[in-house]
Amino acid sequence: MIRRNKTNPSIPVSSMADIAFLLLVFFMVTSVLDSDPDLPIALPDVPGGEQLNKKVSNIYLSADKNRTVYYNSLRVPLPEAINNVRAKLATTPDLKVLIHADKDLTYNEVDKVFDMLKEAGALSISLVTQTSAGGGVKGN
Amino acid sequence: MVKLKKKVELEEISAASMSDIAFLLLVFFMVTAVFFVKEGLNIKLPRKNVPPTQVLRSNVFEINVSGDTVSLRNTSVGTKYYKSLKEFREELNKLEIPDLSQKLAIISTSGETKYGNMLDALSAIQLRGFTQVNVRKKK
Repeated sequence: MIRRNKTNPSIPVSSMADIAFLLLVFFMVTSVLDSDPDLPIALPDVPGGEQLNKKVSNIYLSADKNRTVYYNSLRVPLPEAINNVRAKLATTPDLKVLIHADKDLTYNEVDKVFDMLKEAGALSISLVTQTSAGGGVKGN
Repeated sequence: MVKLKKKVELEEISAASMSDIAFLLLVFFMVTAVFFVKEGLNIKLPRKNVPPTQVLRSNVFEINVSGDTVSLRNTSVGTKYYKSLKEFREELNKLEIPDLSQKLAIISTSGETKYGNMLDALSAIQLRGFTQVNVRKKK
């Protein structure tokens, strides 16, 4: 009778670490960091907003309820902010201006900004509504 | 003298559990990550010096936002008044509007109306399915 050498079956796991690190690097490279200006602005809470594409070049134009204007997160006077938009528009024509305006501002103020943006040639605008959070572990 | 040769044992750190740690970290961050989704109402501002287009009066829906109250005027619907933007949203959804793609919604607000209220009305109109929307400030 022939005696066979018994070998224990095993799954090779030596490349598992490589796969894990590759996944980690993939997510790190493809994730887009949010450059959202952290400003004390109460955004309007209305439904029906479309998800904003962060990969398109965006400019944040913000205004709080005291009518203080911010270009991205930099506090500047409104004409200077519009000049910055105009300058940026010269290099990136598909620029989108994201308007973060406090819900308690009067429409007068926002309309004035619309007119100035129209003058500057920035016609693609998004009126940012309240941010919704997705994913993550929900607390009780 | 006889020299005894000692067996030199190489010390090594076991790296077998590294993959487990990497996967655990990966799963932990994937589960706990919260994605903040920015949402916004997209609008296209009209170009300067564009000649005005003519629209049939029956295709025009005039929405007047004043404070929290809203009025809606159209030749076929008549004039309707709403006490709040919430009521306007609900009633607008019930309203039967045939051939919606041909209709034009004009939101007019006084300059003193809150931006939040104007945006609420705009969102209600966009959600109802109007594709042609015009926002203007009352003089």
